Amino acid sequence: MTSQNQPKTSIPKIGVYVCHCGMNIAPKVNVEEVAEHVKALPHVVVARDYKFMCSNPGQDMIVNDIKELGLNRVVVASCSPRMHEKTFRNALRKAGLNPYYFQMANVREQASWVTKDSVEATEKAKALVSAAVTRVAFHQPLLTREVKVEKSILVVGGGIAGMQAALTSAQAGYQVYLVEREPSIGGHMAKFDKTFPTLDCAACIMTPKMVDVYQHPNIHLFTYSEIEKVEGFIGNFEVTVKMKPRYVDMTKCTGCGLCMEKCPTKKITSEFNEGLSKRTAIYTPFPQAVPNVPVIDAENCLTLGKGKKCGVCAKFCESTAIDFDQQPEFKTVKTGAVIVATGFKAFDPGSIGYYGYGRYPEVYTSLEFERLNNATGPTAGKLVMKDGRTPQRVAIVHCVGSRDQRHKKYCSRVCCMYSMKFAHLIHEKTGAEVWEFYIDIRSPGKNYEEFYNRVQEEGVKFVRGRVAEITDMTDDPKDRGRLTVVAENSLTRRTLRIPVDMVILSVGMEPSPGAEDLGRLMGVSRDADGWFNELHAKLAPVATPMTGVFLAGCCQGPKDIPDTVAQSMGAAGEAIALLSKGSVTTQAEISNIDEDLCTGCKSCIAVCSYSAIGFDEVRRIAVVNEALCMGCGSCSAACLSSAASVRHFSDKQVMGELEMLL
Amino acid sequence: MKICFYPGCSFASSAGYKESTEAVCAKLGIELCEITDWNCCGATVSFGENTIRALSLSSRHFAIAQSMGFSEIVTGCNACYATLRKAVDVLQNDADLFDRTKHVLEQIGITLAAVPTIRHLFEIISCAMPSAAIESYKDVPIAAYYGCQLTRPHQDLDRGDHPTVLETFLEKIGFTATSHSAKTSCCGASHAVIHTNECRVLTQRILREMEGKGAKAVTTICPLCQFNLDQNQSKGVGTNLPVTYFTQLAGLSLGISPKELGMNKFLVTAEKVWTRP
Repeated sequence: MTSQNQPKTSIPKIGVYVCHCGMNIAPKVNVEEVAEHVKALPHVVVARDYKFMCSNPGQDMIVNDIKELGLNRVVVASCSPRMHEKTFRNALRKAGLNPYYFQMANVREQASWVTKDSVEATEKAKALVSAAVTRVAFHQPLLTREVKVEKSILVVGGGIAGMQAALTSAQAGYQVYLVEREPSIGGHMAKFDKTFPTLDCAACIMTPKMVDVYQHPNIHLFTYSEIEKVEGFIGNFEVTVKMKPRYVDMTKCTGCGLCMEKCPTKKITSEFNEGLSKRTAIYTPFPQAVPNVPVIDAENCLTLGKGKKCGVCAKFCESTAIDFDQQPEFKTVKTGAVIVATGFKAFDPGSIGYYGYGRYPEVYTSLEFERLNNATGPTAGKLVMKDGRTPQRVAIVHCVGSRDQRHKKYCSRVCCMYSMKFAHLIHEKTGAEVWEFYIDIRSPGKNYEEFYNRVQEEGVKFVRGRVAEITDMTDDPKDRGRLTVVAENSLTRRTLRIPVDMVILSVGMEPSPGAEDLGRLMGVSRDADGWFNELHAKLAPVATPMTGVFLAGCCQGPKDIPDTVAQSMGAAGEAIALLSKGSVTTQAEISNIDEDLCTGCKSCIAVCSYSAIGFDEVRRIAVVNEALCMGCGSCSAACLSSAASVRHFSDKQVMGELEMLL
Repeated sequence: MKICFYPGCSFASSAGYKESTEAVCAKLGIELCEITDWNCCGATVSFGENTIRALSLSSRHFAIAQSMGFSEIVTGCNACYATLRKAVDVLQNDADLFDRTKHVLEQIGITLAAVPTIRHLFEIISCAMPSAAIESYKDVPIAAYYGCQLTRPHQDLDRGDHPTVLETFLEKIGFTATSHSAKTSCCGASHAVIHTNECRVLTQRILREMEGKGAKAVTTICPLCQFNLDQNQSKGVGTNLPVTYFTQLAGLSLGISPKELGMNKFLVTAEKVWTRP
């Protein structure tokens, strides 16, 4: 128990303190007059004004008055309770009084700052303080509870965001469950070749991290797994993870790769190489996959999908790791906090008919180009066209699907920078002429603008204008076979038709498929574009309205790698801060259901957004789970028998306050 | 089948569109009921000039068609199609403009009660056409030319960019469709009359693309498209592709003679393309 039990005081003895807040309240509101006015109210023992109530001398004044004058209720008229309610409640606690015997009147934001006339401001302040005085007389002592928490963290998504969040949490000594739905961790970053603006190799900075995740004794890795069910509450979540059948026994497989070599089904489109190469039915997505254990793609496997007698992989596997009878497994883990890091999906440009994606072989998405340019990609990093020739001229089209009223209205934030990275790499590898078609160049990051300047100096041509069409129609017969990019240069007001050999569409980001379902499971809402909502855009960017659930990386909105890593560390830090004490304090202002009045109609259970009300089948009454209740008051409004009410918001308290205001 | 037909200004005077449409419709049992006393639809300029006037021009047909007992209007011109279609869109979604248009028509004694569905002649004929019995024209690769307004902005018949309905139709009636990239490129439309040289660049690009991709002839679904592509070739764009109407190819497939289909009216003649031993 953090709060002490207070004997119920029969006669209120109220102290009122009016703050000047330096020059913020005092010159506009006549603070002496307000203090004088409330002295006349019932139960008010003392009323003072002071320059800064939140300062140490200000707080001491309250503590002394409580001790010397025997005050049992306190009102401070100053700023918003969001600012200093905690401060003054602590002062009461210090003086041995229950902190809920306190009420704050906001005479700054709601009076001095918003009222022009001094007399009016003073009158309004008087009303606000009188309301607080009337309310506080009805206050009851309230108690908070300490709930023990599980010292473990569940991370959903094994891309760079999830991996970083897992590593930071694990380093702090927490048990981490990392759930990834693909056969390997690594996410999108594992597909990249170089990273802007430093051009360091993605694999060089990524693969050691993947190995760290795999080998860390505190990280329990679930790959090829999905979240099935989430129950419980902050500090005490129970999450059921569904492990999809790999058809390969992870404990037996040595990762020798013989099964993949021998698999006769070799013509399946490789997801990891963005469709630019083929893979076998038993496969690891890429050679550096973690864990290095293949999965069987059941749909395309001759044995599993087509019901034929193949079993070649099983025959060749010396460690008898192939298990065609594997079934999905479910495992429930207890976790104190959850970090959601589900990432993004690249926008599909197929819906933009005039860009010819899917129709012209030399039109690539940015992710396809990442693979084409990658040493482990389909061409081993050789920048060639599908016919094997080296491109002479390449166009890069910005904002494909982004900043477009017909598609995604938002800026995807990373495309300008990766487009310029592409330009540099193409120029470096092939010497080809590169044309960038942009709307605005957005390079706000450390060393980003410098990178833009560098690429310009390398001779990359920048055209400000959205590309209207990509076609294989050519004006000059000698360009037959090439593509033509049609655009308006909006700076020179000229229409351009540029023959090129290759076009890269810099596609934007959209939320990962499945984010909607996960949001529903976790109780985390999404914005109009489908990104998860943070608790506060500026001051709580990794927390969510669901206490104990945090966000990392692109699932909250488009981000580049540095921002993603920073946010992931932030999310891990928040989760650690929440759990490190070993317990969390529950809120005191929560629902209270009067057992004698409850009729067991369950109306409150239906309206509770936090699943905080259960039903006692024996006594036939609704019961509040104090750890889950957020004190929103929905139950109180829905209750037909007035059994449900929210503590600290009783009818007497609220009506008393209103009476003085109206 | 009876259809309410709105011919538009250029239908009768174009190179065999009228002849072929009438011949094919007769063979398919389609009766063309021309809207009585029809007027110009206002084409692409009217909506830019004055909305109420533009709506009134189109709506007059809507009211007359209704008085003739039809709830659908069929037209064979892309500009007419797009203009009427736009009027329908505006009237359906803006009650105020509907009332104002209705008021204008009342002054000339016409009652506008409801808006019809607008369909292109191509929809009607392509549905009614039987599959080709003989494949006598399989050796004729045709470039299908949609023009800008059939699928844009209203994508009723197909997707806006790179549509394929015409190709499907060509294959069905026994021709070979040429794959090309100029399907919806602009021919210059009515600007060809004033900005002749600028528009020739556009038609040249289209025709060279078609010929370069192996087409021996072109088929269109709009009088202005047909005229622009046909007449510019006589001004030396360097290609030699007869530009037909889809109704003429439908007629050939049904065994009607090229002459009956008005195919002798082209500026680029290529009779050997159609002549069969």
